[in-house]
Amino acid sequence: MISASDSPWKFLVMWLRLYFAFHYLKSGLYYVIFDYIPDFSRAGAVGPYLLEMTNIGFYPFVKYLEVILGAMLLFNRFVPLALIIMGGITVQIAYLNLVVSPAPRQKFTGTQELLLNGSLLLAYGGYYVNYLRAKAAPYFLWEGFKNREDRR
Amino acid sequence: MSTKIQNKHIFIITAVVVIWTLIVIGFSTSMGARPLRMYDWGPPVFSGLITLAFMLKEKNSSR
Repeated sequence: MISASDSPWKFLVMWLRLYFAFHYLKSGLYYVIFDYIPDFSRAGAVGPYLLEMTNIGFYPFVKYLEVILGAMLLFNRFVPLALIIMGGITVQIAYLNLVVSPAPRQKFTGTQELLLNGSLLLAYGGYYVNYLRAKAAPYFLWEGFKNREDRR
Repeated sequence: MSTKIQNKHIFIITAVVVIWTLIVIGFSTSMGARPLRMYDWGPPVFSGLITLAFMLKEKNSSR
């Protein structure tokens, strides 16, 4: 069975992690540094949704979040946690690009987002095994830290 | 125990990076209709260069 610590797989995962990190950082920093907001009047059916996101301040929030999440991936810190949060953003991007406004370029954007986030979630999937329980009793966070044996 | 890096591993990673970058360039320019920007090809290329650097470093340190 191939292992995540074997070459070339660990380097393929490294490439994916850095790619997704730069992908998020470029998008977030383009707003944070240059105050760049795309012209949503040319965004088709998605335009009004993105415009409202901007009006209520959610678009800037997501952009700052992209910078934080991208940095977490770049510096290899709390990657499993970052990937879960990125999953929410990925679902939104995929839905808007594949369902609401499926032009060829947008179909690629939505598909790429799913591929990058999905493959990284698989690559770090060993950490999520405990989430895959059909039944679960309450288990406080501090109890989990106390009982944690995996020191990776 | 991790596998030692071989030249074929470097070739595989390079091939994946190049092929995916070409796909990204194709779609981001809408097959040549839009200008090419570093904004689009930058992430796969720079992450590929950094990854290859780490691969070469590990290959040389294991000799």
